[in-house]
Amino acid sequence: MAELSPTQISRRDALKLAAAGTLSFALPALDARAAGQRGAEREKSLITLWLAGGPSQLETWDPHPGTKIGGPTQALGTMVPGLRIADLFPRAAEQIHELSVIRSLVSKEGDHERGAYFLKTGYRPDPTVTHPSIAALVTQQQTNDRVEIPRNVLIGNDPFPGRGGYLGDEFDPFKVFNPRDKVSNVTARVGDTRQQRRLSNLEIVEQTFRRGRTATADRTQHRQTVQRALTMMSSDQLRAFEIEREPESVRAAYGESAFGQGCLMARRLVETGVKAVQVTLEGFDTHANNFDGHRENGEILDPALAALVHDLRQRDLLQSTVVLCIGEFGRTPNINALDGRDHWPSGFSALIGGGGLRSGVVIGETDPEGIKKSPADPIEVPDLYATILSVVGVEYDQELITPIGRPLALCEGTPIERLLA
Amino acid sequence: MNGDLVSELIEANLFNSVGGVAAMAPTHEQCVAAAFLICLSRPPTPTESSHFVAQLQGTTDKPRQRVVEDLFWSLLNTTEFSWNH
Repeated sequence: MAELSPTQISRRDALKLAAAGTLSFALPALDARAAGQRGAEREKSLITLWLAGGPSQLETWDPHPGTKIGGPTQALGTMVPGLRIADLFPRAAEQIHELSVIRSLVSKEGDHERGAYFLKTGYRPDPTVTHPSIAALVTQQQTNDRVEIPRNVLIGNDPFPGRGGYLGDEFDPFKVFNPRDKVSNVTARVGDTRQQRRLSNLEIVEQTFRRGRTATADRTQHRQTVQRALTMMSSDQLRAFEIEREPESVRAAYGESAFGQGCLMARRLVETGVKAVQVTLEGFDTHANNFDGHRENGEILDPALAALVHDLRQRDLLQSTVVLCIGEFGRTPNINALDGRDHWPSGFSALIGGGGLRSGVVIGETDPEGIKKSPADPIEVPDLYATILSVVGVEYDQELITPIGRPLALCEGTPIERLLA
Repeated sequence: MNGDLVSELIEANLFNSVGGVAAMAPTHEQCVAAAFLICLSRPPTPTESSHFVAQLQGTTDKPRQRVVEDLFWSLLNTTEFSWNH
């Protein structure tokens, strides 16, 4: 670009420059306010508790005790009139009125990988395109640029993580495999002097490479990625990953499990301004010993979910944080010969709430006898995601052009009116 | 940048090219040129060469190894190494 001399600047340019200058001076003050912001004014985030393997609706939010399909699971009353959940969740039962329950999600994908893809993107797998996960769509909407750590974080080991898809790899989640470990690779291996030498060396060689191929070099995102990593390495916001800074009582409330501690990390990340966090709990694929499997996982999920909802509300973050608890599908009403339940994508449950969504709503009903395949009042997954995207402020029906030139809506669903406040 | 992989690759020892180049290159210029050929399959430009030769000037043994390690670190972290062209 040609250098501008003062006389060449038009009045409009001068105003633009002046406005930009004012803005950059004003930013620190705005930042301080944004960090302290609470309640509905805060930019919205999404926490997904991903129950990998397909949690049984009958052993979570839709029990049918005393029926042929109910198994040994009993039901517990909650503060929502008429809402009873499985007795594996005594602590969550005290918090569940802050959320809503959907008992009639329907999908056509009964395979783990395909089901997980559908439940993470709202689209069925398609060989011509990779759809962005809902977490990536939420992350893409970030307007708060004071966040120096990754804005889309995945905690735990998820075999089928959501991707940035056609939005770009920069919307892939940053992975934290074990929340109890230090975040890996964020510390330089050498002292400051050598690190500075390495970085200035890097700059010299980069300049050679960029000469004559700036656009090609930019397309790789390599320098931007290095720059973001360096910003992150020196950022105070890395403290969001340090759950050991929390009082012992808070850590204990979430449970000692990696999942529980991951939920605590999710709260800290959202508080720092991270847009999307997924915490993963594996072990729901209970083709055998369904009831033992769900009891064990219930002991992990129950305190973590209860503490998360309680903590978010206490800190006035629940209004600005959508909490979604979901897996790739449910499990069969029929109990098989191994005391297990198999894959069941027609009529399964999820919890959804926070972020200004209505709480205490119970949608749908499955057949207590397990004979009718379709639930009453079926809810389509894309509609659930349109609901979340609309409260987060994403223009969910806008069409983007995918890499092969095909216009595609971010989400093909319509928000569920009953969940909108 | 900070991971185990790069750290292990650039640690100078008798059996790898980092240690070899640091100890055996007859001149500073040849040391830098060898590192460039090993990592990027091209000789350094005059600017690059003089930048790195200046760092090697007057170093021996351990300090020299450190300079060469940092040179390899930088080369392995370039856009050019990751994406070629």
